[in-house]
Amino acid sequence: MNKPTNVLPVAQLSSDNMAQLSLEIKHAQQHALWLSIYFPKLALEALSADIALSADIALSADIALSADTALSANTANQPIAVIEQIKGQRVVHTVSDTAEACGVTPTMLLGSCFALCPHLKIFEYDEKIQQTRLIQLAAWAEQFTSRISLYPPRALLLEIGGSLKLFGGLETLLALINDSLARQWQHVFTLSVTPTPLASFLLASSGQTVVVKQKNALRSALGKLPINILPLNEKRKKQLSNIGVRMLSDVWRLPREDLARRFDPQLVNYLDRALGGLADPHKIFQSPENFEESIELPFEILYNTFILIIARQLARKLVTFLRQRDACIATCFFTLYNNNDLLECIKINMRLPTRDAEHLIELFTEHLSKIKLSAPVTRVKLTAKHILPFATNSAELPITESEHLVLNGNLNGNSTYASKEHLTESKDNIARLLEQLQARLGRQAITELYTLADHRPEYAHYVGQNNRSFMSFTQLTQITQQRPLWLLPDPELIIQKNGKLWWRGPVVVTAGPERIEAGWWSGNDIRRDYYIGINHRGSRLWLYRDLREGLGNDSGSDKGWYLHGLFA
Amino acid sequence: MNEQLRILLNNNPNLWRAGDRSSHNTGSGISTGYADLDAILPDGGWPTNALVEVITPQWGIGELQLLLPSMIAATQQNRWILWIAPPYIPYAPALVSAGVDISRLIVVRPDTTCKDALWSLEKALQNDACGIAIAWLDWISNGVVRRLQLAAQTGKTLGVLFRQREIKDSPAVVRLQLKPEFDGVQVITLKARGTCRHHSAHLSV
Repeated sequence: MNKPTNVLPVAQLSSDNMAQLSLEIKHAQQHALWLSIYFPKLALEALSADIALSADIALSADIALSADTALSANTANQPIAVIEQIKGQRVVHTVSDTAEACGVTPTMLLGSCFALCPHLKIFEYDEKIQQTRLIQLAAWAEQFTSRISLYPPRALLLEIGGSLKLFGGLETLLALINDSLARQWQHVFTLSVTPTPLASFLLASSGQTVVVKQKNALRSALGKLPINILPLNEKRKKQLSNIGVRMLSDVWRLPREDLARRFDPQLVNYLDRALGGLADPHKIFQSPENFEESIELPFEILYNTFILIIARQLARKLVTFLRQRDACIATCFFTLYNNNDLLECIKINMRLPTRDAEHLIELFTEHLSKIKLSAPVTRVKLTAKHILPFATNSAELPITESEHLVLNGNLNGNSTYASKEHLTESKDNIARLLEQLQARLGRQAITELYTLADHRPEYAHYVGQNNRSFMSFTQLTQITQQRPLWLLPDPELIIQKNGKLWWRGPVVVTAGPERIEAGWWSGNDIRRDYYIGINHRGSRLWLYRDLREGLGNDSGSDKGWYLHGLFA
Repeated sequence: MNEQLRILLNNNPNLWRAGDRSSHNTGSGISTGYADLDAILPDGGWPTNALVEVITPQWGIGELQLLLPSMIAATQQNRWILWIAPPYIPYAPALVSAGVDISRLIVVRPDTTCKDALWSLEKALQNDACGIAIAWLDWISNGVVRRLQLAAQTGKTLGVLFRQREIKDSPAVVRLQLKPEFDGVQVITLKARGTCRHHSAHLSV
């Protein structure tokens, strides 16, 4: 018999590998291991997600963009430069690959750039966007380790020594990070692993992918780096190169005391931190508690379709955010802006907490279809404040007899899953329907029915939106008398013709009276005799005669008859 | 007739033979709770996933009695009931004493516009958690009824449309006319899949 064996990959490791792995893990437990991820083109790439989205919408909306902002969806193949202002001059900060091929390099003046590459598209450097993206990346990296530090402007530091055991060794973990980074983000990046954060950063930022596990191997690993990477001013760098120091390996040869005296004591400290001689604490990154993201567009949009494209993008980001925290939300806000003017704040309420992007968008669509925007939209913001732990509804499901059979193995296992899924689905479904109705018709339009313990017919029921779980409703134990299924909102006075009750035809009383006399304590007291009647068209009526004083019924007169309900 | 052929003919819901109603009484419908009514309906009860149109000349002649047993059954199966734009207030104590679990009954307010009410009914018909969706709507065109009928076919919900006026050639699968009687109500099938004759049943209220 050919039985498929399904063993964990770890178990397939040979004993040699196992020994090595455990050694590696043991070592890492004693010594921290820092992974630095360096994003050389973060300033450009942080912009490009928004650029691509805008281009998408512009294309589908057929908006003619001005020459500066006209972009095709494919930004990668365009010469783009991000520029910043340094001492009043516009200098290149980051360039795309295509621009680099034309000879445009960072620190170049803008004039020279256009001489080299006339079609160059330029964007202003925005530190805030870059920082936001770095925080997003840090939040993404939280799946691998809990100790993450931002190393602005464009690097992350991850302590991965503690994660090796969980992920099955350094190589597996690095491959995983590499893979996930390449799949989820369009970033150019370099990874380096060393026992100190600073050495990792130095190696990664100079474009080297190196793994150094031992502290005493750091000197040789860092030795090949040029002294340019050190945080020194130009004068000091020149001084060093004058005495023949070009690489860090040259620095290692100099005596420490002389280095500290002739150059900067800070430099020695810096090198000590890189080599692990000095402690190098970093602030641990803490992911934001609330979700707030916005997308700004370089043009104005009027149509709901395009607002929805952006909203969907935001909703997906929110879902990713929630997934990482194993959380869900019950409320969120979509805010629409025209430049800085708030146009509309749409609150989305869910009956059951969720993290389903499509559901969110469905509800948002209903809300959006109801409002009229006074001006075009240029920015859409999504905020979610009360993050709730994610819970499935499976705990509430009763196990039926047929499911017991399934669980006992009388049927195949798949159907257990399917039937349970279906039950959860049906519970979610009604909530979904009600949310849809509420979003379109308004909260007030969806009502539930309740019974109350009161003898007065109009006080014995309640129609409202109150959540059943918050209020307890009771009912009179026994209603022996017949009650109608339809109740009139207000009792309708019945006229009389030729001494006969008349409601859309002559009425014949068939049953009654039933005396109801209550409520004297509340000011809304009633004293009525209820009758059941039928008119000539066949409508069965619930009538009463008001017996309170001052209504002229003392002498058995024909006044004071009302219709209160219909037996449907 | 060949036995296999007979099975094929009997089990094909799209095929109907005039005048041979009994062979079509497949029993695939949901029982209405009234044996007399089940007998005159083509599937032996309310059709599953279809729209039923009930024409009642005025309210209060026992039209809801027609649906009470089905509503009780639906709530017992943990399904929901949606009432859209009822003409009067559904009186909770009466529903409770009839045996309906009102915690599973949702009422869409009567002052909803016709368009919104239709939209609500369509959404409800597409939602499997909803067992019965009842709407009180007059003045809707056959095109709209056809759309509702299509929505009903995709879901598992029984859709009931109460109307006071009869419209010719309505696309609803089952159309019933109610006539008040002194001790109950008479139900006449104006249209039912699989039969071309009008049948009537008497329900005592």
